[in-house]
Amino acid sequence: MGDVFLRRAPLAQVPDDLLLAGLGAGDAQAAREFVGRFQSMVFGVALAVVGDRGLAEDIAQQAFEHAWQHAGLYDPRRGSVRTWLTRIVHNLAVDAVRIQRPTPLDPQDLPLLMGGLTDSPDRQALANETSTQLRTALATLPPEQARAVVMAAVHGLSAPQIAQAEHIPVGTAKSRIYAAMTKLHAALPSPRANHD
Amino acid sequence: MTELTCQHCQELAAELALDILPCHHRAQMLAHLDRCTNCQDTVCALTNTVDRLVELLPPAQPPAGFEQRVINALTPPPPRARRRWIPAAAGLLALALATGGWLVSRATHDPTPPPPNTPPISDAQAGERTVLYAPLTTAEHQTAPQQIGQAYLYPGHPSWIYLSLDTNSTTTNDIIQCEVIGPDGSLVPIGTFPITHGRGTWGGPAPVNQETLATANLINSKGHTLAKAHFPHPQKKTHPTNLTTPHQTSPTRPPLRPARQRIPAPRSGNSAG
Repeated sequence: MGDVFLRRAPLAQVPDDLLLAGLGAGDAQAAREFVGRFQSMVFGVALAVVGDRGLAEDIAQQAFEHAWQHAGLYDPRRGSVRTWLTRIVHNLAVDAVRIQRPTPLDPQDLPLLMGGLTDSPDRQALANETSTQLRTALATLPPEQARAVVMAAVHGLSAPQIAQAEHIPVGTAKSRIYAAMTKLHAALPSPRANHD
Repeated sequence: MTELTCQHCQELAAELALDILPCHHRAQMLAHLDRCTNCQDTVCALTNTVDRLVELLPPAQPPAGFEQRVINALTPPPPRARRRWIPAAAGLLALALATGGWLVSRATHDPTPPPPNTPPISDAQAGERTVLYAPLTTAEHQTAPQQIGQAYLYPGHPSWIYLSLDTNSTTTNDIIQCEVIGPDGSLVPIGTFPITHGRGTWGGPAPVNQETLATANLINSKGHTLAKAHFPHPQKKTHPTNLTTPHQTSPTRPPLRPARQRIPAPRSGNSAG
């Protein structure tokens, strides 16, 4: 016992959670690498939710500031750094939309967003098995269920808001959300299998 | 407040996971989840599905200058530097060149100590750095210490530490204090962090360098030493290895992979929660 392991490694190879620890400690190099590694993902999530590049930029910056200030709260048992950061930027974006817009979603935007979620060739090359399975499951959902779950998951629309947008009863909107989530969940490997 | 049945909870679980439930239903759900592990499991699984779904959103290239604006916000320059940006930029450049990498591994180096006032270890390539690793072991079994976690330390500027602890005691909930003991016996408390169900992680600034660090101690709320990570003096022989992190390894097996093994590309790694 007592061995110290030293490794010289490019910053690009430093794992995400170690990089986050460095960011939280005020390490400028770690901060630069962290932002470079995640900026496209963070900006992409913000842009998909708010649909405005200027607002998305503000939200993406807020997300990195939040990650920096709360790096110590990250718990690897509850998900990867990518998942944690996605959750942060998504929550900020949904909150911003809820404050700024009485109607959070333009129905014209939905087909474009659905296309981005189910058919993204650039991402396919980097996709892991889980995301491929989920993408396939989403593409094979009945269209009305897919719309409902995307409006809820991406835009944070409640069942009454979805009912209003789709001109359906609230109960039907709830049923569509429930059915879609059940199918998507069934399509994913169990968390245990995911770690193996 | 009306109590929900498990059937009601199962029906609302998707909306809770999606964070779109009205406040009163949310409160009812949370009250039920407090005492129902089955429904907790359902909500956790559906929350995981929502996370994966949001992660499918396509990345987008931010506007030019975005990265630098964020960096500036995360690492604000000192007040004097704001008034004179050119010297500040020059200073930052010099600093980047001077500290441009992580410390070089001592594994195969001559153990002769470096001359005074010279950085003991320096990186040849900018952007490379070395993180020190030591296993966290139980303090009470000195003859056969048991590994119960990992400690990572970057002894640069600023220096920081990252700890991961798994005591194998699922009933342990406590606040753990971390302190660093120098070779001369000096003791520096560097922070506290919670452990729940015997497990916890923590990262933060640690005012240490390779010359002053000897041991990191974790003390429980009763004042007992729960675990230690011993960092021998850097001139001792060390072993190079690749960087992995606690959740990528099992505490019961060697925590770091052999040196020749490839490190997964960071952009595609760390995707599973």
